[in-house]
Amino acid sequence: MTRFLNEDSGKLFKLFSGAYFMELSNERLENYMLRCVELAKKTPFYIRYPHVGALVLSPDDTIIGEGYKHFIKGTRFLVHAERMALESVSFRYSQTPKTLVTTLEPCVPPKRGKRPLFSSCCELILRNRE
Amino acid sequence: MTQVIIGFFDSSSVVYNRIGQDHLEQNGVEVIHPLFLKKMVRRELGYRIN
Repeated sequence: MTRFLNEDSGKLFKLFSGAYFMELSNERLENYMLRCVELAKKTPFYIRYPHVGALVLSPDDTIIGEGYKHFIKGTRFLVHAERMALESVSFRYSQTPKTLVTTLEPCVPPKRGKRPLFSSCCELILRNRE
Repeated sequence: MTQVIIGFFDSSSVVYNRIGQDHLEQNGVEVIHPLFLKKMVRRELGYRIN
C-alpha cells in the first residue's frame, strides 16, 4: 500500500512492514532527504539529468549505504544511485530489513528495445529484500 | 529492503509510475511518498514533469 505523508500528518508517523517496526520523525526524514540531495549534487556534470541520490538506513536508523549516479571508471556504463547505495552496504546487514531513501522513483525494466547492462532498480530492490 | 521512501515522483505519467510501484508493493515492499518534501527535492535538483 502506498502512503502519502503530509506535513500536518503529525510529528511522528509509524511505518509497519511485517515484523519490522520503525519510527521516523518528519525532521529526520527531511534531513535524510537533504543528504540525498547532497549526494545527487555529487553526480559528475557530464552525466545528463536527472541527477539522483540515494541512501540506505538500517533498523536502528543509521545510514549504512550511500550512492549517486555515475559512470563506471573508464567506461560509459551508467550506474544508478540505488545500485551504488545498495552495493555499498556491508555484508553484515544482508539479513536485516533496510529502508531505501531516494530522490527519484526507482526505474523499472524496459518493455522493449535495447536491454540495459544491469537489471533495473526495482528488480535490485526486490533481490535485496531481507 | 522493506521500505522505499521516494522524494519525487511524476504523477502525470501514471502508467509508468504504477508499474514500478505495483511491482514493489505486490512483492511486499512498502512505498512511501512524503509529499511535504516533493517541492524541495524538485527545486533543488531541477526535476521536470513530463
